[in-house]
Amino acid sequence: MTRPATIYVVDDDVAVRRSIERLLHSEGFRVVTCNSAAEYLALDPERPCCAIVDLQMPGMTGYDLTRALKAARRNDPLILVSGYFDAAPVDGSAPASPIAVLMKPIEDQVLLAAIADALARQ
Amino acid sequence: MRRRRSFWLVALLAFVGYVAGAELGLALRFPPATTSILWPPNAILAAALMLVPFSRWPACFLGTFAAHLLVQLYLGWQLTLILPLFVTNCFEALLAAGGVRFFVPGRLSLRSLRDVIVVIGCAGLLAPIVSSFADAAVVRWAQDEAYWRVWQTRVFSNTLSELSFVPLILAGAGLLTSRRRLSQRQVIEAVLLGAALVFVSTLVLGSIRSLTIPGVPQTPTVFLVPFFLWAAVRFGAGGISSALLISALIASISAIRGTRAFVVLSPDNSLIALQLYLILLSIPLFIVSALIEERRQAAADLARRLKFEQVLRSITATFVTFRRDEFQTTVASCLQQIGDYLDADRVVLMQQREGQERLEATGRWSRPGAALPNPPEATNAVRDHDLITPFNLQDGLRAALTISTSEPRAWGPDEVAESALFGKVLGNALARERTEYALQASEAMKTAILASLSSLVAVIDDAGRVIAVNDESARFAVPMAGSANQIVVGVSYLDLYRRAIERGSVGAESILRGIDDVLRGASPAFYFEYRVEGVDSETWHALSAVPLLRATGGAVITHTNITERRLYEMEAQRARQELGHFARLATMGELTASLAHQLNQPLAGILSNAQAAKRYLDRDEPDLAEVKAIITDIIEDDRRAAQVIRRVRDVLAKDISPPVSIDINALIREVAQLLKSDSIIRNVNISFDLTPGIPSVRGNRVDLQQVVLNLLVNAMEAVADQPIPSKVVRVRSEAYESAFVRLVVEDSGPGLAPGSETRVFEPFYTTKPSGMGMGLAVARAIVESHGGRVWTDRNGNYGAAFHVTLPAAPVSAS
Repeated sequence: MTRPATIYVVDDDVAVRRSIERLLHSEGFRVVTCNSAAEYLALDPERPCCAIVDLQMPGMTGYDLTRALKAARRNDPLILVSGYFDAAPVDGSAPASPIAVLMKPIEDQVLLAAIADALARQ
Repeated sequence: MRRRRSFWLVALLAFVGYVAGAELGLALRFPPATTSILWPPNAILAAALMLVPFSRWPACFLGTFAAHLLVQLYLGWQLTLILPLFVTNCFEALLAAGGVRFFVPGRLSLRSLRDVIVVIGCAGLLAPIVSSFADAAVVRWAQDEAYWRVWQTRVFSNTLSELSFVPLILAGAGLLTSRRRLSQRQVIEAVLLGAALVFVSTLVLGSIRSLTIPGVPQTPTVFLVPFFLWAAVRFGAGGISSALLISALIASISAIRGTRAFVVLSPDNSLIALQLYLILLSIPLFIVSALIEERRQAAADLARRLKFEQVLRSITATFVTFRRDEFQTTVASCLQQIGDYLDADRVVLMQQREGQERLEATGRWSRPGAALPNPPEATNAVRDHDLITPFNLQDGLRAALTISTSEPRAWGPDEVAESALFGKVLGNALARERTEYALQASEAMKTAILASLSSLVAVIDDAGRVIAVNDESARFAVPMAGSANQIVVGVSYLDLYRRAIERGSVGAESILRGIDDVLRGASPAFYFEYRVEGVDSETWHALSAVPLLRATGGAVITHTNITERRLYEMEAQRARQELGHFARLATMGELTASLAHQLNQPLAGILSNAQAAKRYLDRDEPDLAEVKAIITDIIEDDRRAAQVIRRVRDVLAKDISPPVSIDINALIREVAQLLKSDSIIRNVNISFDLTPGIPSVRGNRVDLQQVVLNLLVNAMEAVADQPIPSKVVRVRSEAYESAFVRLVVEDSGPGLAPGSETRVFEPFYTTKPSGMGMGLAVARAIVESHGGRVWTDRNGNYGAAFHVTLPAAPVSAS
């Protein structure tokens, strides 16, 4: 691990955003938070990286983001999280490159394992 | 035919009478003198002319002319004598009858003094005296007799004849045409009088000369006076005529036989003296008899009038005090009185009933044993001699009093007039009976209506005193006013409530003020509902007061037991709440995913924060400042989670709390908060345009939340199939028509199918396969129970708009 990975947290809920940021800080990750999908889409993520994206956000949802990235031919590793019972995509379209789809509340081990998996692929 | 027959009958009667009279007259002549002592034909003709109508006069002249010709040709007299004599005879009769008919145009009655004087004057004096001038001239010319002698003889004999025959014939005709008959005693008396007259006349005028009153010369004729007086007093003019006839006949016969009434005179002078004597005796007697008759008539009339007035008074009195249930017998007794008074055999009172053409018998009386052929009800069976008096009742209805006799009877004008008066009295009685009946019916109807009411109805006057109350009071609890049976006529209604205020009864003051306002006219009506706690139940009552519409004022107060209505209302309210609850559950079911998301957000935050804190604490040098910040966040997230759960519970709770003042904008924001995550999931953009400072509304918070929730969910579902940027819902609030607040929820959906604008509010109306179709129905029920209105229309060119208006809460002073 030469460079510390950067984890992007995309969630409209500030409390959720901050709690995940703290958890990742405690593991030594560099964390960047975005309060909307559009904000993340405008970034050029530093590698290695991983984005934890909430599915239900006003305006552009998590699924919208996956489609937008696909359209932009970006292959950002994404971990999708949802507070909704049924995490399946509402319109049936598959995300661009889903590492994992996790249910809130998220167990730290599960999240960290998913991040490790994402980083390992790069 | 009938007229012709009566013509010939009159002619025949005149002929027979004239022949008989002429034969008698000729038999009583002193031959060879032409003039008779007593010459009845002229008198008979005169009487006939007085009796028959003018149209039958030619018949009389024809009959008598034939008789005259026959008799006198038979005697061998020359036509030159016969014809002038007939002319003078007719002249006499014409003078007599014409004079009488002239002075007495109507019905001739020998009971009237005036008529008697007219008859004596015209027939007895004028006609013989005037006609004898012509007659004497004819005889002087034809027979060469002494003019004045003839004149004298004729005047006396004809005067006597007229006085003897005319009243006798008139009286006889009167007897024949009137209903009156001579009683047996009268007949016996008449026979006795006649016999006495014949005897005394024969004695006095015949040959016996020994009857003298000492010192009085020539007394015998005086003996006739008492018998003439007897005839005059007991038998009137007819009696005098008869007496005259008897005396004259006997005197004539005696004279022919050579017996003289007055021996000092020559036979013919004696006869003339006797004629004069009889004439002078009879004329005052005629007048006396008429006077007596008039007095008797007056007494009889008076008696009759008294009797009539007594009957009339009795009938009137009967009807003044009659009782309705005795009306039939009362009428019958009155009819009997009328029948007895008029000497009738049957009296029937008939009247026309409303809506009927024919008259019906209302009452009838028949003399027991009287045989009357026709049923009294048959109006067309009226006989000629029935006396029918029609009269009118009120309202143009007719009635009639029919008086019948077994025997034919001519009704006099008095009886007709009396019957009319009876009719008037009976008419009043019938009218009163009808009024009484109508009054009783309306009174009974009013009583029945009041008694049938399931309410206590009390009528009070302007001072608040009870003037009428229906007798159902015991059935009703009248709280505050004391026990119900205290509400009786005479009690002051207002005092009952004044005492209740003193006892501290809640609401009594409002009732007192409300009733007082109605009594003073300050308020058109007053209505008050109250609850009464019983031993094992509670009842609800309503008091209503409305003004009594009469000049002196007052009010009608009604206490109605509305428990049943209340129970229904409460049941309906409960059902509506159940339905609302059910609908809320259904809505919540649809929102479950979104609620889970809302709950998972803080839970996710808490978990991650807690795990991060554990890691910080696990370090060799725990970062306590960071841990403290984490715990602060955890607490905040926990509160958030609790908030979500409270909101859900609030919505689901059965709320029967009393209405409160609600800021509709705040309520919309609360609901929006609840729907926030749902709208995110559905990708619906909900925007708000809430006018600040609009009035509050009064109502049930949870119910109104439900309305907003249902409208928003409905709107979000409406836009579900639209492309994402077009999923727009707009919520607007504003003041509306000064006293209302309006909430408008607009969506960008496909809009409503034409014609479904009202159906969307019906229960179970849905266009979605998964929907229950209850949301809008529940919303409408809630809004309407709050006194508001919902409707829908098109939202511009696309989508639908749902409008809710709610009454603005009154601005409270407190």
